[in-house]
Amino acid sequence: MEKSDIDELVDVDAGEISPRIFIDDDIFERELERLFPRCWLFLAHDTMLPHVGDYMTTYMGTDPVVVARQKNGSIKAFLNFCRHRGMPVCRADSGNTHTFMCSYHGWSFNLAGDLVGVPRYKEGYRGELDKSKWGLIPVPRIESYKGLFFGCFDPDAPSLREYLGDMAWYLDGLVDRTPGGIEVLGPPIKWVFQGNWKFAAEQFAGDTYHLATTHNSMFAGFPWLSEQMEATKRSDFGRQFSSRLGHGALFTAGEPSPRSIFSNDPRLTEYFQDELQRAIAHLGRERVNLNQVHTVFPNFSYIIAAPFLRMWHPRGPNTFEAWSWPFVERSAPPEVKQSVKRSAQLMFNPTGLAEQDDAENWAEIGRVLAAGRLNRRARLNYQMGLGRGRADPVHPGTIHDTMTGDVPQLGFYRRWKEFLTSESWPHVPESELRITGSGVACSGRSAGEEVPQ
Amino acid sequence: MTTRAIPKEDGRDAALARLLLRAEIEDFYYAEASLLDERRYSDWLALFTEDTRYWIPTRQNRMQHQMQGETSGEEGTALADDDRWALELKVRQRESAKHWCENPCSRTRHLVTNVRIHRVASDEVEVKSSFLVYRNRAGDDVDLWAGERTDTLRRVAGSYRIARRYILLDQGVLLSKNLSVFF
Ligand code: FES
Ligand SMILES: [Fe+2]
Repeated sequence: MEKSDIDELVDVDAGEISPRIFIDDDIFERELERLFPRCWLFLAHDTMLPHVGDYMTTYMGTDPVVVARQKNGSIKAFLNFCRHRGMPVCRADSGNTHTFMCSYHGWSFNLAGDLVGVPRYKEGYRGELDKSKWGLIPVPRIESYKGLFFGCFDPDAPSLREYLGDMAWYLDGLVDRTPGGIEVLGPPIKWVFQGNWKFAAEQFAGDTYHLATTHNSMFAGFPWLSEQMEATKRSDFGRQFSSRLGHGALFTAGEPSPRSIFSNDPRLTEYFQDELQRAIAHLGRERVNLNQVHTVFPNFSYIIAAPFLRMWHPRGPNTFEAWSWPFVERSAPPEVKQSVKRSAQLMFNPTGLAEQDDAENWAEIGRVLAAGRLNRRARLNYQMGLGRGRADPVHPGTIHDTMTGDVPQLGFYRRWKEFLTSESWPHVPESELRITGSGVACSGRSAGEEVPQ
Repeated sequence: MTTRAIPKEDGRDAALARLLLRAEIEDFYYAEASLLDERRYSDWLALFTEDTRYWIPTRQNRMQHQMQGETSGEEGTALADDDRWALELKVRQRESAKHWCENPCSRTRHLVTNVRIHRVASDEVEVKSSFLVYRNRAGDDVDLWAGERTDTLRRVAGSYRIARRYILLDQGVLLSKNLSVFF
């Protein structure tokens, strides 16, 4: 596949995209070679691995990895792949350990991934095996943004903070809303099904448009939500944010957003009124006003008010696995945590009022693309709001003055195309980074990779 | 091989009573299953008490010495943890005709088996049962879910109501695009 082929598949200026990017084996292989190994990928939040020896297994791209809390409090990750014959060394989803013992021939590795035990080392290898060469393959770079740990395999990638760029200002609404930060609840809800991972990633980067139709059936249960939904049809309601670095968001702006909790628990109303005041005092009214749905390029999403974190793990060109974690304010009282968790699950689990219908869309598109050939020759329309992004004195990035449009989605694919067509790490020239308004002040304030503990 | 003693009269009565109770509960389950398979969701909802809990915990792969984490508890996440209000929202959604993942409607079949009565109190019975649920929609789209339910059935006005349903679904990663079915 030539660069020109991919250029032809994604026409950002015309707002046209070929459905082949969602189904072709060649495209998927190229994502595995050029996108996932180069990007900063979300691994874990600090609170998912609270104790020394806590571990979890996850994916980077399609590669299984183990993430473990080290003795010194740091986080390390490695390919889940024994250097002897390739057996996965960790076959549980999570747990606590000091050693990963491979269950094939018994090589064992410590929390840092070093090879520390080899059965029949003296008799078999005559003591000549250099154990230091046969440790687990590490994720060479791990950095944290305010407790969110990301991993990257590419030495040429910029720092995580630079990679996030203008996104960090928005991301603070997730991880720095109140002083104590968030607690992520586990285990993650996981579901795997037909479809391409980008359907979900692009939707969370800005698709307000689908709410009225896809989720029509859930609004009946929530009159206040129907009102908000009607408002999203107004052309001046909310905004979209598109980052030159591929990230995207939709958000409402104007008044402090009620935390959109889908619960009949009156304790939450009181709690969130109080939480809102604390958030305004800590993060500032400007950003607390934003009620946001985000995708951090390429496959990490979240909804701050829902509230949950989401990973979209690719499992093939037409299969992906969604992982979802509810989160709560770390300092919230236990009964509030329970109630917030339940309401997130009620809406956004695969059993949920919203999520059931999202997956139907993605799986159905996957089904017709898998079956068809003529449909792959057609072009898909990404033209709503085309060319209407602008700089803004308050909000960093490119802003589209309504919530409904394709501005961040096109930004996502523009960046995606740069990764797939570039021979080296696709750095964006400084002159194209549009960090404006309070974004400048903020990026100064939140710069640097804070490592907890 | 030993020959079993013929049970005394009162022993036989107790055995018969157990048998009748189980038959009664099995009938309740078969009727419940057909409500779901016939898409009579409001009628199905009416089988639940006002204080009910419909709970599907999350399951993980864990090493044997740390099995306590295999099934999530009260503090952890759940695939579903619905009170009557939440269940009702899901039923209303189903009946709205705008719930696109169930319109066109799926075909389902709920098989209920291995019914075991665990505890009998004055007005409540705790029962375990196994299920296999089949769903077909959109041509060749097929899902199968196996699992176990632990129910608290409460006797209300001469019939049973589900006061608690705890569902162990036998999948770590859910192998379907959604769970638009009820168990
Ligand atoms: S494959 Fe791991 S010890 Fe042989
Ligand atoms: Fe949606």
